[in-house]
Amino acid sequence: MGQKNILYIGSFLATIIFMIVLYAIVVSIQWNQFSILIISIGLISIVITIFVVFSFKIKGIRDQGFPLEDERSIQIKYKAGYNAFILSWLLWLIIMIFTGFSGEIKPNWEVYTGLMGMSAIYVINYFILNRSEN
Amino acid sequence: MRTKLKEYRAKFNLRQEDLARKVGVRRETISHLEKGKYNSSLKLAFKIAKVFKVSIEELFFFDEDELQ
Repeated sequence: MGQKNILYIGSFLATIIFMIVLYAIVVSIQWNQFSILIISIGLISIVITIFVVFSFKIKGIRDQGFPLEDERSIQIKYKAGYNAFILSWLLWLIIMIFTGFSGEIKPNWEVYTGLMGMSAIYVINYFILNRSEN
Repeated sequence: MRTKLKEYRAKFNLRQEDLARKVGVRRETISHLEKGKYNSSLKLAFKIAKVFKVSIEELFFFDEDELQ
């Protein structure tokens, strides 16, 4: 199996595991004001940490005179975006199938509409980019 | 894609950082090019060839089986 296939399958499985764990945590937590406050503080701290780390990294790159982005990093970004889109689409498909078979969970039509919109945007973008200079 | 980038870099006494600055890319890109893990764009290949004053074919080449 190629390195790329391992990456795709690995990230897909990791996302599924992450979602199951997240679901289990959300279900098990007794939601009250205190737990919401703690989770909010935790999330805000994570966002701030990521922001600080990235700004130091960006400053370091600027000081050394290297560009923040070059053709390889842009290509990686596009590939990551594409993979994320396809994998998240698949993930939502699995969730839709699961909710479809489960009698307890009601289908969420807003999510379904959003997914259809995502697919439509993808197809429209594909045709526009296919015709434009790239 | 294979490359003689490392040889030419040594010949011109350039570090990966120096070459990266000259052609306006990150050092990692030069490193990946040298290892054959990244296929550069035609534009970047031209820029690098210009630094070493050689043709692109002299710097970058494919094995026959890679072209099949």
